[in-house]
Amino acid sequence: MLKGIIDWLRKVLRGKKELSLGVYGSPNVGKTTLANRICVDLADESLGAVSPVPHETRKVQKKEHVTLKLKGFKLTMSLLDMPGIAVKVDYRDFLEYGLKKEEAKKRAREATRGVVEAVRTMDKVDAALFIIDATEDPYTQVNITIMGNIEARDIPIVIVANKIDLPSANTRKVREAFPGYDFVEVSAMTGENLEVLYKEIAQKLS
Amino acid sequence: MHKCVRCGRIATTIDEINAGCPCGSKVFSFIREDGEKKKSPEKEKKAPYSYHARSTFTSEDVENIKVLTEGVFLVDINSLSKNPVVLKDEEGIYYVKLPFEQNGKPLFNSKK
Repeated sequence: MLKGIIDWLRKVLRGKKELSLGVYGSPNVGKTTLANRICVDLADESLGAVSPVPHETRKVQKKEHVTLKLKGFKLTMSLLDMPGIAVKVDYRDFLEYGLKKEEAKKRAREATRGVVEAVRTMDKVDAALFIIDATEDPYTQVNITIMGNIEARDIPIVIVANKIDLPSANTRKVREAFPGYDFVEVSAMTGENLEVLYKEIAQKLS
Repeated sequence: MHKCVRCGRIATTIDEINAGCPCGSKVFSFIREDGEKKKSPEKEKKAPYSYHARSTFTSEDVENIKVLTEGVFLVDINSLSKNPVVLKDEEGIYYVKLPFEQNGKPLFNSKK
């Protein structure tokens, strides 16, 4: 109780809570895999479950006190793993993964609620990682709309082309789709290039 | 099942129909079996998927617009003022209209 009050006072006196970093993108681009990788690297524990079934993350997952240490630089932040943003959630897409109709409908409802929550949480993040599956076409309605919203809020953003471990990854296409933005290509699965991403995060949040 | 229009004999396989009836006729009429006949009127009697149950909003609902039936919508005004537009169609598929804010800026304005 006392510790809680002290923490609260500390935050009030500092004037601001921990900086928060939001992880945005469409479903199944590897947001949670990346968030887990960052949390394991910087906070020694993972954040959420991953699955090949779309919309596995249906609520905003938050990990506080994630500390990033680079040469002469230290930053503690909260990491927010967002549900995948989509403009259509069709329960029939889940049936092919073996879910029963009622389960699929429930998942669709929760996933849609997650989309709404992710959009509403845009106002609460200090910087954003926008994850794009480098094996897919980056020119989608969802990608453009998310980028527009983040841009309109003046939230610093890093474009992260994920899945570079796959042979079909085309990072050049992703870079061309979003020219002028800070851009990092990584594999959340293997951890490749994560150190470059950490430098970008440090720049954006410092 | 298929019945010969001349003698009334029932043909049970496609080969029998192709070969024609032993009476010499090659014309068969298709007759629905009893079970099949009953199905369609039952379907017609059913209301289109619990219409009245869907004509209200509950705390479980994430949508703020429901399509009750073709051309008939139910709108949750309170939710619309706080959330993105979420439409649920008759089949239970959700459509989300993402807000599109630009503040007069071009979408792909370089930050550097």
